[in-house]
Amino acid sequence: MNDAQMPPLFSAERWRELRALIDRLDALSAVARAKELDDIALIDAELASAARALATAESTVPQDPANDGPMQVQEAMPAQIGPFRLLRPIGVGGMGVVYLAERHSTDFTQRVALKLLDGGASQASRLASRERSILASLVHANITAFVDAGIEGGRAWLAMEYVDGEPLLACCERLGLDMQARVRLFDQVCAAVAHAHSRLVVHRDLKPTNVLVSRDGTVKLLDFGIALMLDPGEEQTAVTRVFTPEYAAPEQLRGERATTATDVYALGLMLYELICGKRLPTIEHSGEWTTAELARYATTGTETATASHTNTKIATHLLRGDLGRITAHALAPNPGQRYQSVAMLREDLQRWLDHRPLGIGRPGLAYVTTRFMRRHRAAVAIAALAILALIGTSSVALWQAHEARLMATRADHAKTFLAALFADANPFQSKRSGKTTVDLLRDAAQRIDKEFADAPELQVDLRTTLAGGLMRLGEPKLARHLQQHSVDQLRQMHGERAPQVGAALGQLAIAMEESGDIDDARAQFSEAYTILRGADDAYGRDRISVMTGLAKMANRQSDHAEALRWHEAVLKEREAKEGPESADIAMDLMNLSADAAYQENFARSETLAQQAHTMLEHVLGPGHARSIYVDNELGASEVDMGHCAAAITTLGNAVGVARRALPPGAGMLGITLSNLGHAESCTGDDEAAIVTLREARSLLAAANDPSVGTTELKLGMAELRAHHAEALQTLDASRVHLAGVTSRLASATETALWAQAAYGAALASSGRLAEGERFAREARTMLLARKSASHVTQAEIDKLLADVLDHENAAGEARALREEALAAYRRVYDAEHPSIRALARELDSTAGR
Amino acid sequence: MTDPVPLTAWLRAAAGGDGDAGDRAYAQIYAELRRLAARQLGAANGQATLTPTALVNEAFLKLAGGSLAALNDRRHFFNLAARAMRQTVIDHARERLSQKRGGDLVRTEFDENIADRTLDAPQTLAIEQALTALERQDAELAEAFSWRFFTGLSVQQIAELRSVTVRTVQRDLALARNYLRLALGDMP
Repeated sequence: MNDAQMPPLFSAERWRELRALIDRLDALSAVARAKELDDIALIDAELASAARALATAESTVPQDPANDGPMQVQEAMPAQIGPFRLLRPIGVGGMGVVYLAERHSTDFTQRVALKLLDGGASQASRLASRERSILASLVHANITAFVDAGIEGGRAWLAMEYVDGEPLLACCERLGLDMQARVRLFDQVCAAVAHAHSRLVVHRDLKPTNVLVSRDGTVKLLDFGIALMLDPGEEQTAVTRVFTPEYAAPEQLRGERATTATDVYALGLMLYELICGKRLPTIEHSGEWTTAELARYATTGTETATASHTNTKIATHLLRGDLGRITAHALAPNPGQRYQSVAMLREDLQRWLDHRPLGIGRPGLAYVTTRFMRRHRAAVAIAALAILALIGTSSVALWQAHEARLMATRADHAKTFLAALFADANPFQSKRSGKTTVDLLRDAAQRIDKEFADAPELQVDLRTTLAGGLMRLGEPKLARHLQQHSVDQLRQMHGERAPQVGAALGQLAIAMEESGDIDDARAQFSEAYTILRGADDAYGRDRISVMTGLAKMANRQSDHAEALRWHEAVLKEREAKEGPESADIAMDLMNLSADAAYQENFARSETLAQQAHTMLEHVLGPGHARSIYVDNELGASEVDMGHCAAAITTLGNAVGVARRALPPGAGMLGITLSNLGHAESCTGDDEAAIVTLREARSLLAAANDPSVGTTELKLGMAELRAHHAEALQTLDASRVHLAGVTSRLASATETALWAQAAYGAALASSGRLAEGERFAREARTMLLARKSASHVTQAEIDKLLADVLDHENAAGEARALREEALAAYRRVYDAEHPSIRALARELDSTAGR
Repeated sequence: MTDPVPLTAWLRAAAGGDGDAGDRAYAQIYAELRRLAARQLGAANGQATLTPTALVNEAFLKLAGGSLAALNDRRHFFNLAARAMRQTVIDHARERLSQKRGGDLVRTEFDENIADRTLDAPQTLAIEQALTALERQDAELAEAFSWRFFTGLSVQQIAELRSVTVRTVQRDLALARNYLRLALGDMP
């Protein structure tokens, strides 16, 4: 090649002569060969000399050590390795030479297969005591026993039980074994692998040539020691991975780590080869194997790996049947879809031997997996979220390469962690523990403490993710516990006033709020805000979250002015960050609209809601799920403004989107329907409103949503106006529900009083006059006793009491109440508002009386 | 599994006499081996050692998805791979010499019993010369040796590829080694 221009050593004719001579010499004994060469030397000394140098048979004999150069022909067999005397080489493996060796003691002579590994000290050092002890623990009738190991002359050696046997396939062919007998032999291989797996040892290079059948018919699996020492647990790169491509599982070819599933795949290939005597050309094929394909390759497959006396007809027949199904299942391209353990593979082999139906049922593993996924959908979604959260963190917070690498490792670890979490929930182990998603998350939370002890920041991230999941699953108390843990940890790490602590406090407060501990939540939100107020922009998001929480707290306590201030601050920070338009800004505007409505500034509320609607549609396009919230608010503000037709359009759209975008039975659909019903009442169509509100009621009741009481109030009022007898019952329920909510939500108190007055009106209209008047009057007294009350609520209660008094012919007081109500309306409504016009008409019509 | 490049098609076309296809396949394999070698050497950080077996094994996985079903295809692949690896080893040896850096160079599978020898640059180039001589003397022997030496194929695998017995391969390899030793003469 190239400039290396050495001529051949011999002429073509001479070379032919030499080769013929060498062939002849090879067939001779050493003595005869020496004599022959001496004879030839007499005639052609040159030829004899060349033949002596080239003759190959001699090369197996140990040479003079002085000749050992880089081009040494063969290594001399050492006389002794450790306590063993070497007898003869018996094989050459990928990793070294195997010798038959023996050890004498007074009582017995032990014969071993002694493997002298290539690779010198680096591999020798891998014979750590831990690995030796694992090897020694692989005690199984079908695994060649570990005898001893050591290092000699810088090279590792390994002594294993010596098996005087025959390769598996050769043995089957020679004895002409039938399939039942072959499967029984194969089952012994499986037993060996299963044993190893139970000791957490993966073979990773299973192939027929690694299986011997001893003279007594016992199967022996070889080379576990090699597999173990090659464990690329540390820094081995892909180039040094060792396996046989033809027997490698897809994940091995992709360079992924071998697992027990990898061995299952290799066993599948071995089974196939036992059935039909041919190696399955796995690389030509992608995806799942069908039994028909397996059978087809049995007849058309590539070169035979062993002599194939197997009746091909029988083989194809078997492959089309259950044996083929077992093989195909072991050969699933996705490790997760194979037999989940060698034990399960053995189970099916036994079923085949017994002519019983297989364990891999017709619906298939996919069915079970899907069912499992369905059962644990929440947990799976949370796992995905956790990974996303980690990726998000690493991309934002990291800018130094080495840190990024560190983070990648952590993210990997976290991924592994989550994978392991779901492995624990393996459907096949579910007999042991019927774990729920919440149990899984609880376990995960405990393991975060242990497994990420060295990465506290990551612990906090993972806990926050899990806490979010727990809250969605209705487990806020557990979430609160997790967040408290994070806060404590961050305080220790960074000090009381660190912004990290503030951010975590915000999360803790949210969990407290969800747990119903409003006072605690408010205190934590406040503390979080104190810390985060001066924090830099990196904590903007956390600050916004905390301010939003404070606004919610203020609203809960009917401090709507305070809520408005917080929401304005949020909007300001968000506009600075995301300016001028974003989906989140639209949501902030929506919150401000609600604040304005609480303060009965309905015109402003409608304007803000309209802005929010326009911005959201601009940013996300029409029909986005978020528009449900914004349009719900817009519709409600339109109702407040008396723009009833517009409200019906807006809310009708929102209901349509909600039905499409939300899962059936979502509480938000009920809330939107509730407002739509209100809008329908606003136009005077109480019958339509009743239908809508009844649907809303059943949805909200099923979702256990606190707003069911308000919806019942709207429904009861519509029923009352429409003279439906159910009104009494509906309003009674509303009163009870709202009274139950008042302890949690101050603003509900007013609504509860409204419901009580409405209930009184219903009682009166059903003839229970005195009782009705008592309820209505008490509601009005209690409302007036409050420091502040909504004008609308006051007007409504006044009107209801007036209605009660109408039944009692107390026209004077009724009129006075209505006038008061009208005055209240006028403080907050336009002159054109339908409520004002209706009440004004009513007063006009009774003016003459 | 699909081939990243239509390697199988090229190999078959080459077997059918399409020289261009053969060149393309060779170029592909050579480029891949160079890339892998560069990575291996780069990662070694001065302790540069080529491991031809591992490189070819990886190129095989990369280019042929780990296996070629047909015997002929595999034979062609390993022929080309051995040639490409040989060129890679020589290129590298020359680079080393020109940089006047010593040290271990090539980790060979020269002999199945001493798979872990390392040769330095002058030794590598000397072997290359001797192998060229053997190639002209007896192409089959040189091929068997190249497979073993540059691609790390086992005796068993070579026997399968050549459709001969293991014993024949063992004898051929021994003969090739002895021939090379003879050709190298005074080489240490």
